Amino acid sequence: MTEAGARHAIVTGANGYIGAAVVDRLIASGWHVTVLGRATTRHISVASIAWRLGEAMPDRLFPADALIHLAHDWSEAAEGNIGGSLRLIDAARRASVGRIVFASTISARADANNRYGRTKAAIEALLDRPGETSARIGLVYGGPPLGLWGTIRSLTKLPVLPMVQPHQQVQPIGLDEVAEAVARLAAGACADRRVVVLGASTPMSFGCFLSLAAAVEGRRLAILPLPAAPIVASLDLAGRAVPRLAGMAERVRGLVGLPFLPSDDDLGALGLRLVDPVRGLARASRRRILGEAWLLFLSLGVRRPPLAALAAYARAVERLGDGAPIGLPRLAQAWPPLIRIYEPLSEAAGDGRRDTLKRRLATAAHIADAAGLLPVYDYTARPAAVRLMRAVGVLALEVAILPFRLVLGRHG
Amino acid sequence: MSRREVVVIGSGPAGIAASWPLVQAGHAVRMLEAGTGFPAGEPWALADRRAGGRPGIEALLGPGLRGLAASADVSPKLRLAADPDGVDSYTRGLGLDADGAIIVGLNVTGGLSTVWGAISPTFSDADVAGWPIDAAALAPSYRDVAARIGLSGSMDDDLAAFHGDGVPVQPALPPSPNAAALLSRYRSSDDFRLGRPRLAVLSTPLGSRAACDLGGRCMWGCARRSIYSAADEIPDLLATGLFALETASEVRRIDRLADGGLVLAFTPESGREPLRAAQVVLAAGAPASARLALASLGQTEARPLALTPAFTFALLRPAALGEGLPRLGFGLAQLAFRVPAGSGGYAYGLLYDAGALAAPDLVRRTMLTAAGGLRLLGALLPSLMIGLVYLPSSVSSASLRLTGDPERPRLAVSAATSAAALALARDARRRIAPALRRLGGWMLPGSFRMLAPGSEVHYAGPLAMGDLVSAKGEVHGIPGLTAVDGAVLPSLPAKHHTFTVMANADRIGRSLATRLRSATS
Repeated sequence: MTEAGARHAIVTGANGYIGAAVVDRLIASGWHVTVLGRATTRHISVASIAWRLGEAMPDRLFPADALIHLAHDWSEAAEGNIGGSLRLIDAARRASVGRIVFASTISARADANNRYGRTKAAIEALLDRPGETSARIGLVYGGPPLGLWGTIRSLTKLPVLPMVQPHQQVQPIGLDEVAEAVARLAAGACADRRVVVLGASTPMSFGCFLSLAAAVEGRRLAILPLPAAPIVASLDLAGRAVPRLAGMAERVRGLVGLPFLPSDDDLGALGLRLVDPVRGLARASRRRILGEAWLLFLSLGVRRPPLAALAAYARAVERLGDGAPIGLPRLAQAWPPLIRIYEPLSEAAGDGRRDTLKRRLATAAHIADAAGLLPVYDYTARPAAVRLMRAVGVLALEVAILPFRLVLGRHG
Repeated sequence: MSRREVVVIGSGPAGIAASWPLVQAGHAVRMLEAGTGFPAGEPWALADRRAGGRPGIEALLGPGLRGLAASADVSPKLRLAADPDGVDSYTRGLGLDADGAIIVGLNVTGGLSTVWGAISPTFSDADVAGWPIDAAALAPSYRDVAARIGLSGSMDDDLAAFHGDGVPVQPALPPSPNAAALLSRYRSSDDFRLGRPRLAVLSTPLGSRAACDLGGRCMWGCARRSIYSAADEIPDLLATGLFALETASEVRRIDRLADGGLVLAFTPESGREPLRAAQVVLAAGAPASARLALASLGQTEARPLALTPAFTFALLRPAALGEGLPRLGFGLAQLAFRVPAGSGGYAYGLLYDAGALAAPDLVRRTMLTAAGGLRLLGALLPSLMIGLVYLPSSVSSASLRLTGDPERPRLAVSAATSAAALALARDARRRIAPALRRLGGWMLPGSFRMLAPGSEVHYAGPLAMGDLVSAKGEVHGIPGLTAVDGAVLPSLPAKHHTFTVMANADRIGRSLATRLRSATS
């Protein structure tokens, strides 16, 4: 079933946030992939075999050129993860798999604050032979709202985010960048390095990262800094009663102890140049901006906005505007003509930094105009009464919705 | 014949106008332009484009859509036709701190004349009251400049003499239906005088420039070069063999040398070694020339800045409600008018067809919603005109001052709409509204709007002749430095001043040419 010449990779954790992106990337570069995990993937060309971390290896799994081990069982104790990984690694070694790539974390340390970091460090310690590499992955962003990125996206929906140590330095990396790096590692890059660091070579504060992530959602985030020690202590206490809170204490502790790891050399050896997270996060919001463009064009009476106009709008917002989606209310999303009741009376924003809905509409109008889409210029003579009635009708509506605009006007 | 090289800073209308007499007298001119050239684009017709035809989004809003970047408060033409990089770099070069004022310039060959409205009246004796020269001193220069740049307009309407009658003028462009209808009902009166505007736009070909074809794309730049731009004269100047243009050369400072010469230092971005010169002509545009001259003089006191306060209004012609937009037409000013304002003064106004403008520009400054505003325009555009009225600089209130350290001088400009300007504007509106009503035009209630000071881009005064500068443009205390642009005009009437800036630069250029010849002979 393997095509001649195609390299074969076994991937664990392939249904996770990073795993799915890695599988996509491997398939795109011609790998034959076997997913070792819980459920089938969305790729029909991918073979999948049911398996759980800790279980015995299925038959007919090998031979393979690479094992990419991304699975982590959050419900298991440290021992389960370590023992399961050891079984997997042993099986691969016995089958002479030449390349093992393990997804670790920047917080991996034998004396890490949290169990996750200590567990990852213990598994890293198992991988000590040539061709075995642990990838210490930083804060991954972009793509679908899953994993920690999903948590961050939901946190940024809060009006105020109480936060421990907003000044903690993090090393962001885009999801597609991680996938690219893992694919290159699997193909043999850096096979002589036991550990590579995948994260921005210049750190950024977690608070700043969260604000940027909030902008992806078209929101502005107010961060309320909290002292770390009492929070961790109280979460620990509460965690004994409510297991969900124990996980939260775990995350907070992981963040508090996060070291900075230089990544320049590893990224250079992998031939990767990471996109500035500020830019990368803005790009993550492009889909939402395109959606916004569609709604704004419809509200301006452009019947079928062509892709070129939508793309031009997104470019204008990214390059010349504040780069974030405006966050249209659900009602306006459902029925675009309603957008006008949220339109402020003037373009000037409250703080001048965020675009107002009125400015966005002006941008959309200019682009529609330049694309020859505005149903405004009438070169045909028509009965004056028709035009007059239309003008009176528009003005009546404008007056009627004025109170709504005064109350609901979106000032960015 | 012995030649002296003159360095001219700036390739806008003033620099070009000053260069001609120098070159014609046999002197070599080396022109330095901070920016580079900016193409006017393809010729296309407005009506076609609005039907969804080529040239597409980027051609109209600029590469990278940069046209959307410029401030919403400046003229739509500056936003649509100008090179936004040139706008940014001019402001950056000034180190501008503007308080209440909009100050724009354009670092591009041709300067602001690449985007201007081309209104070109002459100034009368009353217009130059208080200047150290009279209107007669400008007359020969007006004639020569007009012959070179090409003016069109009417020589037999009520504004012909007011716009100047001693200059060659081509026939006026055909008026739009709205303009023709207003004119047909006009009867001469002293209170309100109406006519065709005097424009630096060709109705018949001149040299390599084509006549206007009424394509209507004026707001986006004229690819036929019917609208005058100083950049159009550069090939002719180069052909004399005495003229050289060096672009991407932004002068940062002008210093005096011990031996009496001048040395020009460039910005780091220009990557040029300092340049020695015996004669330097300042034509960088009023704000930039003022900054350079004041820095050389070490003058940090506030200097007056003459602006012409302006307001806009919308005019509806109910009789045209059933019309369609004309498929052909000129896109800049259709009509000009003059009303008395203040004691013995006047306000000067222009009427544009709203259909020649980009509809979003008309909507975004109103309180209407974008969707509602566009729908309203869909009904009213064929019957709508936009009025733009200017007041004399005597009621403006603005100044500029050199700040920052001497190595990196910055320019602080402060301005406000004075109570006098507002009162004069309201007075002018009270006279204009009934006069236009009699012609069948209704000033729309609520459409009166004062423009932010400076957004009309009529700047003068900081290096006024008779004050820091002699009547021949010589900057007092810095031998070899001559200022020729708008900065040297002591005051402005309500009329547009570019044509006068050119005539005055020509006049100063002639006297400099004579001085240089006598110095070498």
